[in-house]
Amino acid sequence: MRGAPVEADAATGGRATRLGPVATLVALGILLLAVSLWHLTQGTSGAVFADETVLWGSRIPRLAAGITVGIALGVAGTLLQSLSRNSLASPDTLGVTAGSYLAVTIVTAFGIAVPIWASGTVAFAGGLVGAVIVLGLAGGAASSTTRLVLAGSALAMAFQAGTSTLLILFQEETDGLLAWGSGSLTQLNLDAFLQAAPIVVLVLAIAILMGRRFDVLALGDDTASSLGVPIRSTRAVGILFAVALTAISVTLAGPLGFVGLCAPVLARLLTRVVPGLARHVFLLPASGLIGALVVILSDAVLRALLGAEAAISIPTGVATTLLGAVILVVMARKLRDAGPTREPPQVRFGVRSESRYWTVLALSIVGVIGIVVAGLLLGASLLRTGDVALWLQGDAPPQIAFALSERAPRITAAICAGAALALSGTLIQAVSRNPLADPGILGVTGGAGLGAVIVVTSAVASTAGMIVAAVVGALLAFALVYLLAWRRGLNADRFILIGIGVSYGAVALTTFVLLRANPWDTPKIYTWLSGTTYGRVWEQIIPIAVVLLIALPLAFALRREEDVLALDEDTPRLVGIGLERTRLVLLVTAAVLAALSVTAVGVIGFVGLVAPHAARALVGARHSRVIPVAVLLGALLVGAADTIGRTVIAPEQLPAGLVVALLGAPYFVWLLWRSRDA
Amino acid sequence: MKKAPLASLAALGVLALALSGCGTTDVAAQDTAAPDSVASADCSADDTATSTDPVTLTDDYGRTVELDKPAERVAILEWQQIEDALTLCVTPVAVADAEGYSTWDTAEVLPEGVTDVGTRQEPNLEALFATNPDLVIVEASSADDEIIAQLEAYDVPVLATIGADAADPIAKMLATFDLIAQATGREERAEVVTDEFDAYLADAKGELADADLATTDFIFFDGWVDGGNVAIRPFGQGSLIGEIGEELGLTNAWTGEVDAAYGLGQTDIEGMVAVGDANLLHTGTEAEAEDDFLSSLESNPVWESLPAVTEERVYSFPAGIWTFGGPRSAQQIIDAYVGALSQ
Repeated sequence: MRGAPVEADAATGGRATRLGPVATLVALGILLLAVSLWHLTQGTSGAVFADETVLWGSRIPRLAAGITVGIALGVAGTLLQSLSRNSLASPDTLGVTAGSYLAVTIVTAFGIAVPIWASGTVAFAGGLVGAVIVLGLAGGAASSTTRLVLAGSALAMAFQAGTSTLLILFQEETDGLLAWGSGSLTQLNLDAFLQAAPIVVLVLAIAILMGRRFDVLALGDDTASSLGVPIRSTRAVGILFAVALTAISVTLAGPLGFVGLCAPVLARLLTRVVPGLARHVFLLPASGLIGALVVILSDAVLRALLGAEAAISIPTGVATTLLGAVILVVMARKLRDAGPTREPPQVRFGVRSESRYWTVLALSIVGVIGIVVAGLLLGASLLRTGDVALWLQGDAPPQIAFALSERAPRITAAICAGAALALSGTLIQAVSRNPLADPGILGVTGGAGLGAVIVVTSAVASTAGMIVAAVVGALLAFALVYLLAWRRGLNADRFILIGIGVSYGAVALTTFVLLRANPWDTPKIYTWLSGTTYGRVWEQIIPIAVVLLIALPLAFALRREEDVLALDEDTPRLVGIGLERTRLVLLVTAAVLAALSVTAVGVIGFVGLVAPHAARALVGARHSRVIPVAVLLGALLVGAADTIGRTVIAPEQLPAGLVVALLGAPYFVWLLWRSRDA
Repeated sequence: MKKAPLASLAALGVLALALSGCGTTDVAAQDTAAPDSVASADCSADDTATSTDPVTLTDDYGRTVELDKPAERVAILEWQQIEDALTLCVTPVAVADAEGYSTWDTAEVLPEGVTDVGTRQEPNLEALFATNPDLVIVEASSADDEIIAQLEAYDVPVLATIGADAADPIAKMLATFDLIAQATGREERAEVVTDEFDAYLADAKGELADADLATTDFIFFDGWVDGGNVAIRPFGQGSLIGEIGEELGLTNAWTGEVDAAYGLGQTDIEGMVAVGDANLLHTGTEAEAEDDFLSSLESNPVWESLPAVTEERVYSFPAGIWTFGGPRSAQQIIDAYVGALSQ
């Protein structure tokens, strides 16, 4: 897949049933027509054959919007994939949709009156900012698959944190935005479509005219420039087109997940049967039609299963994201080992001295102690250390005792979870040999969140049940990722991509479960999805503390194996380390740590990614040093995030997970920017 | 350079320690007196007695709550219950989301100086218990909702209520009001208010019966437009606002699927065809965006074809009526019905 996913392997043709690309397009069109006719028979009024008013006022606008969005996203995805020569680029993984969503949420939350025609501009601006940052950071369009996907996913996470903060703090103002935020086709009228359609058609037409340039560019920069194709301008125009198409689709239907990823992927799969389709003249319209098919089909199936009225509470985007996640996993399984050209993105740091290590370690310990003390003293009211002493002796006045016995378990939960996530991230990065991997991206936290939410929203909600469900969910998700990625050994890239697919799928299912349970409690949903220490009791913290006490010595004992595993595939065999067994032990440890951190603080991202990096930057890459420092830094980050979240807007509170993303994002941005040439 | 953030953090910690010193915080002489009474005209004229007897009651989740004397310093974590307490002339010591309450619920004015303890979903427990409450009134979603256990850990009695029940929303609203009255020893006042509410309802019913309406069918809804998207939320069977309409002799025409607590449904413009020629009633807010919502709908042919639209029977309720409130909000709703339909 990597390198040249769009190579025209016309030479491999010679099949008996070789279809012409034009015939294929016609066939796709007829298929779309058939699904559209089915789609037109569905509606909240219940009539199969609607009268003219309903047809033009409701069903045709919905269908038209669906088709337009599908075409726009399909074409945008194809453009991004071709330009980046990367089969996993899409508007979602490039931060475009998250940027658009944040922009629209800001406008709604602060009640900025924007005419409907201009709300598209808001979404467009947000999307453009997202795309520019991601492409810039990932080292331009020719970056490696893993790197681009991770950069985009991380930026999307940061944008999502901003969006969630606003949705929590401005609940009543943003009441309708949660469902919209997952993508919805319910249209006001045909106007939005009539404004969007000409632009989509125009962009598509120009893109098709430029088709040859895209064909040539896909062969590589050198080939392209030797054939006289202007690289920079072609790329810039293509990306602007993709961003415009995505922004239009966000305006029409909200951020509709993953259509932009799976439509082009499906179109490229078709090129194996119809080689002629690989030319952009045909590929672009084909992925557009497939995108429209995916959207309309997801919508029609959802409405057929749940009934049109009940289906309104489940955004179409949840269905398309699930479908997209499955396709991502299937595609990743086909990923070939990239062989000698594979070079994982890395940040190299020089060798660090022994004395530096001890200084950093000492400072980190002081930092963690400092944050524990700060966490106890800061909050809705400022306390003093003498209060803590009195409280420890049981002599504090009731008000102070209240405050401290609320703060103590929370700061403990934050410290333990931060440490666990950092250790989990360190192990996963070593095993996957990818410094950009983290437990959140491997489906583990997504699975834990899904398990916990299923129990929380069920009739049998209990703390013990939630802990068990989170651990089971995490381990199941991990097992799924591991087994799917296993093909005569574990390929690190495949492992990560499947993890991302499973992770997205788990989040879509979590949204589904939460929306079904209570569509109106938006803040609760977002608090859950973003991680909080709110209302922690000691029983929820004990499991993570115990596991941490076991896992830390284990990880430290295996430090040499980790060093060797992090090198490459062959060295462990040479020095006689049982590759797969050691990997499995480390991964299971990482999974359990991440799972239990979910029971303590919910779903917190970034920590597992950022802490090991900071540790390597400070003390070098040896695990004997990285492990203690990373664990301390993780504890420090989540502890600080929790204290800040409890203090800055008191008495209101921000979930720790959001503060982590808001603190972690700038660091991550810097990290990616710094490593862009590696 | 890499060490700088870490070092500065450590320095910050040391600084914090130095600043906070090793002293202890002086806890101000504990404020155990009852807070000022509610200043509304209604309450200044109030002459009902407040009980001083010990209270034993069973809350909505079957928990027994025992108080040596009726609660005087109540902390309240949901808007309906805040309104209830204020109607009973009891000023809470602490409430959740005071600003939001004042924006969205105008039935009772929250006096200045009540401690705000943050959002309703994650009230700041520390700020809450710092006000030294003798009772915490919370709305919980189930008997083992985490919030109950969290509050109970502080040794202050907790009264857990259920927000609404679509099986009989008016009775539920009054029962919650009554529960709070018992807890605060204000049953006498509650009786007066409940009687006023009943009389109010009967008067309005008479007024509407005389009003010669084109149809007694109605549907109440609110909704949003985001980008090209529209979402409509009808208040169906079992919603408080819908049931009040029915009590007034009207018929709630929305019969679609609703949730079990608040009686809320979800639909799009096409779904509105199902309401036939019913009057269309709509939540009003002061925000301009809300007017945009109704005028945006006018661009849709299905909307324009609805009998109520062609006959100009679409009415906006005044802003600031909390559709999930207590008896006083309910009286605002009754006023709004009469005001809209008897125009």
